[in-house]
Amino acid sequence: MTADAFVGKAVPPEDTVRKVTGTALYTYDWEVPGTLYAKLVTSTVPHAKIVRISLESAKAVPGVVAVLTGKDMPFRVGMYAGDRDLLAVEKVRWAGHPVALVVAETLEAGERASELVDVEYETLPAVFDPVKAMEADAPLLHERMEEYKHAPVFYPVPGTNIANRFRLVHGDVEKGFGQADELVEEEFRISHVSHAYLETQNVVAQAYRDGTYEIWTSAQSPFVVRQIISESLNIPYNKITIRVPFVGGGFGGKAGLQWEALAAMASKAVGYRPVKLVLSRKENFSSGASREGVVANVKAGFTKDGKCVAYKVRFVLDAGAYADYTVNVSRAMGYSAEGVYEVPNVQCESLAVYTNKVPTTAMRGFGYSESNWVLEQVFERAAKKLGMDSAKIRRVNLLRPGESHTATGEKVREDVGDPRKVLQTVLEGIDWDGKVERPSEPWKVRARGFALCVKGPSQPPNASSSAILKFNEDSTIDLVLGTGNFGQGTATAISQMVADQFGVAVEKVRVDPVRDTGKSAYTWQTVGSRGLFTDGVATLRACEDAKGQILDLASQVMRLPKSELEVAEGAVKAKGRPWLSIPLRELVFGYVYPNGNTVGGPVIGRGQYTSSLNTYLDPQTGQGVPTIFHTFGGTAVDIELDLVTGAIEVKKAVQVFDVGKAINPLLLKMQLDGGFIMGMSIALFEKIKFDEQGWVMNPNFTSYYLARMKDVPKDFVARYVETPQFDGPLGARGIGELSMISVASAISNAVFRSTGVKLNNLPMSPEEVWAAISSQKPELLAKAMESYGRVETAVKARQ
Amino acid sequence: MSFGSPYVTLPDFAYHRPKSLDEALALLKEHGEEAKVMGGGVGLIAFMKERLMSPAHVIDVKEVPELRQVRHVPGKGLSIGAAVSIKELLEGGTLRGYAVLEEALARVADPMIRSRATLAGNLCEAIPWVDSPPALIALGASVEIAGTGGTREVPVSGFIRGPVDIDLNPGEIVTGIMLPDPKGTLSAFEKFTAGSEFSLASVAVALAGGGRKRSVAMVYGAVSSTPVRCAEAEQAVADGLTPANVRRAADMASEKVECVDDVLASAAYRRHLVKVITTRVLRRMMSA
Repeated sequence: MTADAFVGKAVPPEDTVRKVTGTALYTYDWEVPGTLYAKLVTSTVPHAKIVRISLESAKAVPGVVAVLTGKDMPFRVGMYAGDRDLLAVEKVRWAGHPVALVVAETLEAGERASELVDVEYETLPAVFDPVKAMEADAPLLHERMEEYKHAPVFYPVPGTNIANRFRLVHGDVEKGFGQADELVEEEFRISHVSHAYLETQNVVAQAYRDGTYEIWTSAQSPFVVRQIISESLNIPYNKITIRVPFVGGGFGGKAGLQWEALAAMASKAVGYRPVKLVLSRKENFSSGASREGVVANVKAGFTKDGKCVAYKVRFVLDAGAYADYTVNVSRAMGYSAEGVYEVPNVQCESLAVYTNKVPTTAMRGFGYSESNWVLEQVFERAAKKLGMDSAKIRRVNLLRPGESHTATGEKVREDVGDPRKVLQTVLEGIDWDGKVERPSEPWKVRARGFALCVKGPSQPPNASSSAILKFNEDSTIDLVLGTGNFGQGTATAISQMVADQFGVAVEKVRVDPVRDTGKSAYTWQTVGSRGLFTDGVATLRACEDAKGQILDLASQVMRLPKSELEVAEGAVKAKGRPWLSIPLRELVFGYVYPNGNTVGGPVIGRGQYTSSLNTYLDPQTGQGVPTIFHTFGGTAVDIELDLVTGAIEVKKAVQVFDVGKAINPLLLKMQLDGGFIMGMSIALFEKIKFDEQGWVMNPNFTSYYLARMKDVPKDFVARYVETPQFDGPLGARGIGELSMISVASAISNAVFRSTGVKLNNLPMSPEEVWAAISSQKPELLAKAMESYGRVETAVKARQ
Repeated sequence: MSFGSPYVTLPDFAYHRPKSLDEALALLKEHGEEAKVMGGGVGLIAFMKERLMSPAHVIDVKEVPELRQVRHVPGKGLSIGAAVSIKELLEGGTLRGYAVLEEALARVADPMIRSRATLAGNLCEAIPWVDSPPALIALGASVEIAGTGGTREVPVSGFIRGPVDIDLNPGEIVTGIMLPDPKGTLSAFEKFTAGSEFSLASVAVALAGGGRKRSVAMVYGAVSSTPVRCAEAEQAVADGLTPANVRRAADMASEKVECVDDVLASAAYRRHLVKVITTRVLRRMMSA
């Protein structure tokens, strides 16, 4: 094998066979003998004091082992805001808030008993609108916010519903408005959406009498699950083992703590028996966490030549009852406000606000999707006002690597990527200067639009990763990673890098599908498109470490200085004298001389990665270095809008990203296609609807709409730019989340360019689009209806 | 009516699989209100999961031979057995002459569900957003019901009394759907969906006879709790499908058909869609 046999090649994901043959095991498959089944009892009211919980009838159901309430586990848990309970303590904060947990010998008994738990409430005033929730007399969700353990970079405002207030100031925005020739002022809204992973949240936990805990869970970040449980419940880290088998999708929704601590405490409470909790889809919608809603108010100033001289934005995040993770989303939304542009004067405020609705959490895009929805449309609106081409206004403002500074004051390095080349490739992909095709019907509009984006992982500066590389007797490799594996294919891409490091076939590198905090290499989390970058670098360092050991041994055996040796083609070779070589197999488990004497032993390489470049952001101005990389990209679409129904059909999608180095073009294309479809689904279909009591009204997939196969564009163009990053693994950057960020903005921009109709609210469902056309351009709708109803030839009904 | 279920399991029930209509009726008599009849189970199992229904006895009629037939009854029409799947109905031109029903059924859910679901089940669910009831009403179809006391036949329009509420007594079973002879009826179906199989608005149209004997049925589904006819729209096209009549029918329907707000769409949008689909269906029929 040559040194570039696998990197850059389309290697299929290593877990394909197990998945397509149904032999991949998920948490749900984990059946421990003696397992008890847990069932949530949830609040029927949005905000109330718990007066009394009657458990007698529920406990009397045959098979019920225990019925637990918040009094049995009065812990406050969390990662960033530390605001959550395991079961409601003293009061409930949303309709769907778990108030009790039935644990039974069978799920049937648990479900029956769950209906018999009687909770008496004293109703409290509730608030569902995040902007109203900031008013002085709004009902308070968290009266004791000052007691919560917030991570140092968050700024809650105790005595209000504000869970985090992020501020960014760069230049003087008022001065900037003074220089502007045109202003764009808008309000944008984004609906709550579901992660819609196929595998609902589920967990199996067992507490042992020796004080240890074993937890199987469908999670993205086992080490953070362990951290939160350990820190919140005061259990030493090494007494908790978190195991994650195959995961049926995460999309950020399984990034933090889910039900692991609850199940673990339940296991302890029922006498150390394993407890399994599986949420139904409805429970996942109404008691699990979703992506937050957003209300954004923006004002931007542009000069005649298209330069954005001032950008002022306020994001209000409808964070729901718990904002443990969403405080960090608000931070990311804030510091990403300026996107791929250099704006001299920026003022941004981003507030995560509690409301009596479902809790919210991380989701693919993590604030960047939301800020992009605002920014990229503002630029499109400005282009129209200025009579300027959409591409030109962007070129005027694009960040210049080597010169520009981002909104947080970070100097944009030469090697971070090439936004201009990305833009150019996007335009070529959609044939921007070419003629727009004719619509299929006279009442439809065919249009093209695009949007650019950038994103990096929102992680604490000290977030680290590690990798362990173990050689087996036959010189195959067990690579021990911590980064999760829920569809991205990171383990495959990293295995390709390892294979090339040793010149062996990629099949010789295996990564165990199960992540286990006791056995896997540490990685902070699998979020933010960081896996390939951080765990990739750690792995390359583990390869170097292992190679060093192998060369030391080979040097001794071959009696050549180490500097004259190299690892290549599965062997150690003398440089320039390839006939002098020893296969790895004869070295990696110790070298055995003919007389049996052995030197060396099993080779284990180790590597780690922690960025030394990141900083906290200044609390007043938001200045600093928040991320380890910026992946630049963009999306263009060719759409057909049915003016009569408001339905938008995407005919063609173009996705372009500067990935630094395409380690696996097949997986990359799958990410770009998959991300587009997810972004399109959120753009056109997805919305969690709440009733006046904050209940989720559409908690399943016949009423919560997702894109389906028929909605997928026939024409897909996935391209990439490769500007290698000096500290990335072989120059690569992350891509996972990126591919969905600019999709919604691109679609909306296409509609605006062609019709002048502003679509400020997500999703752009047919009804939303119809309402926008009706109110903004009634003449357009009337004309469309006219041509729709025009029938030239009357045909008599068949007799 | 709700969406989704907090439950993972089904309520306890005894499962019966009778081999004849008499056996099925005997089971129904024995268990009365405790029993529910299951065809494809698409609706019933969802209702049971939601605990909207918790029958102690489920009587699966898929192997009742009398309910597996599609028969032409001379002088009456086509009788479709209650246990015949939608997929079976769509095969081999069975529904020739009943275009409105064929079109409605061809777009029910997806192929997997169509091979399981039955026409009778789709009707008996009586949920507002499904497609076959408007088509059946437009065709003047009736429901064939058997009980231990004998049989009766009720028009589909009266059979659906409200959401999940049908004219079926304990001890009775729907044995089939009777479609009257089409006799040159021209018919068509249109629906608009926004992201799932459930319609936001649908319309079934059937034009029969000619001249003074012409009869028109225009039935709207998914816009309110039960399918509704629109007499004013029917009137508008009574003397023929001309561009002016089509336009008037669309306007009348949009004005007169009662539309509701629900989780899937607003009443205002539904009213607009009624106009759109009325135009579309009639225009298509004009050029047929």
